[in-house]
Amino acid sequence: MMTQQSAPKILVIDDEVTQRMLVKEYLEEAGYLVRLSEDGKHGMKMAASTSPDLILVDVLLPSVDGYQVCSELRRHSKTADTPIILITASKEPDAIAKGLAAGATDFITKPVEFPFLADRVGHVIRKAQEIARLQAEKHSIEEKLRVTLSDQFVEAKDTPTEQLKSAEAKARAAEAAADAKLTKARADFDKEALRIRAEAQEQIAGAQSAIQATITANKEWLNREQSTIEAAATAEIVRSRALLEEARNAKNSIETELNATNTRLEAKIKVQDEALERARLHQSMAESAIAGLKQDHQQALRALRAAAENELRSATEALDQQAGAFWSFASALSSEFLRQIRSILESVSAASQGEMVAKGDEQLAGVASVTRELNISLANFNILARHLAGQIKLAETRVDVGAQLDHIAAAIEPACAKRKLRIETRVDPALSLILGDELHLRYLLMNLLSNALHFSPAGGTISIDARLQRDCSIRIAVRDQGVGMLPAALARINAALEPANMISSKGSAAGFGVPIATSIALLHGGRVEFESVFGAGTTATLVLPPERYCAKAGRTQLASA
Amino acid sequence: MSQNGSTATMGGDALDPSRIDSYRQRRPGFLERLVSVYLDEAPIYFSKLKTSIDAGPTKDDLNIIRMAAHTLKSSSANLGAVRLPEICQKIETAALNEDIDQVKALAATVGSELFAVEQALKAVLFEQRKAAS
Repeated sequence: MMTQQSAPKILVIDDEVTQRMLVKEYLEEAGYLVRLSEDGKHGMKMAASTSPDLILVDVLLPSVDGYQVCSELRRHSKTADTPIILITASKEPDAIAKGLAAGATDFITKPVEFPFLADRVGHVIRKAQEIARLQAEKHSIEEKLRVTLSDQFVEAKDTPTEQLKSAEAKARAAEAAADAKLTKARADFDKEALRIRAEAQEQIAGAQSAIQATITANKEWLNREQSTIEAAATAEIVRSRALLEEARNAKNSIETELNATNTRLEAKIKVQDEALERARLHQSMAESAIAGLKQDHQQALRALRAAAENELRSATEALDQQAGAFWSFASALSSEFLRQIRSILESVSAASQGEMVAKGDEQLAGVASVTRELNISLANFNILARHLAGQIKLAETRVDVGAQLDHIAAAIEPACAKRKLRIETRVDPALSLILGDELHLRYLLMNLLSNALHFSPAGGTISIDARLQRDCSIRIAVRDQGVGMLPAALARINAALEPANMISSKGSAAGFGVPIATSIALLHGGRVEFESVFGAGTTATLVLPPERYCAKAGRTQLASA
Repeated sequence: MSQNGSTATMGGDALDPSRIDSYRQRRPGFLERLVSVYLDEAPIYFSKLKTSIDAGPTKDDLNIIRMAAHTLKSSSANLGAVRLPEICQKIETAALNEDIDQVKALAATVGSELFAVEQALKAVLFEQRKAAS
């Protein structure tokens, strides 16, 4: 390796960048100082300014080519002797001839063998240096000779011919000696050049054989490496194949197992499906059986119900017939009893008008009183029996409400007097005649009054109030000042007024009175209502529908008739 | 072929591996710089070549074609390209002989061959960087 000061300077003129890089890399590594230029003109300027020890020039440059550069450099004193290596393309036929003509020292063909570049460059530089040295030596000898010859020539001018001759002879001898020296120097130079070249060639051969040895060694190593890798790869392939085979076998066995499981499962599913189908069939059969049973059951139920209803109807009819028969019999019997009672009453009345009364026979009076009450009860029973036996036929006439009320008041007068009861009668002036059965209406009102009388305390007042309503219905209210009824009792009475309950209510506090009144009111299309305040009294009201009302004109006509 | 990298794995036969391997022995980073410079420069010369061929080409264009082919040939050879320098040399010769048809015919193959070289060099670059990291 050369030191930085002594390092030879190399100028590279090349337009191709990789070429420049490679030259620089290889030469710098060999210890050269490398300068780079991309084109001919610039390169020439650099050569002039830096005085390189060697110039490498590419032949094919863009503007000024390598030959021109070479010629130009040779023309300049600074670079006239600088060794120039031309880099030529191998295919260029007359490159060397043109290069030599341009003054090139040496040639390198592309592609450049870079490992040998430094040696080549070194050789050219050394050769150039040697030539320079020899030329300097030659110049020195020639100078010395010239000086010597010149001295001898001056001396010779002053000496005689002998001396001149001797001098000439000396000169010739000197010249011959100089020539001999020069010849020897040339021979030495050629010898040295040959030696250097041989040395260089030897070095090149050595380098080449070293490179060849390296290449061979590398190739051998590569082959070994390749064999090792191939062996490893083969082993790996074998192992992979074995693994693959194993995996395939495992996969196959899993698949087989899976298939078997699938088959088993499918069979199970099939069995279950069949069972399910059977269950469905059974269910549907059961459902239709249930439906049939239900239908039968319903039919049987309907038949039973119809039979029961028929039976009930015939039983009811039979019962009705029996009741009718019974009530007909009761009616006939009560009529007979009534006739007999009335006969007794007539007898008692006749007797009372005789001496017995005058004597104040209280017993007879008692008999008469009891008989009258019996008469009333029996009459009531008779009416009820006839009503229930369906024997009552209303004998409808125009009935004077006021007259009837007066008549009834007169009838109960003795009883009232006995208990110091007062009767107040108010009749709506608009209401005088109503359409109805006079006798039965009288019974009805009589019954209501009897009840009032029965429940009124001594010294009380019974008020009778007959009114025509706005809708022409008629309300005749009988109000007493008795103890009244508790709500439960009132409810029982009102319930008893329902036609269906009339028979069963016979045993109530009102006796036959309430059912008789109700049945007569019903026959007239009306009803009986009870209102009561416990401790304040009870009001019984006969309500008759508007069609029972007769206008005054009717009454006038009737009166006139 | 060296022990720390393998040009045999580059794929294809566009490159002569021994060239690259010899550069691998140089100072650190040299091969990467060289390959990078080539990958930057080569497409420029190819583009010059292509543009000039597409342009006509005139006599001036033929000169440009010759220069571009020469440079591409030289740099590709330096990087160890196997076929590309030959194709470039043929183009150079054809351009010198003003054989335009031949120039056009040869130029068609330059692109694909350059692509192959570039791919191989990119693989080299990748290997170098991987080895460096």
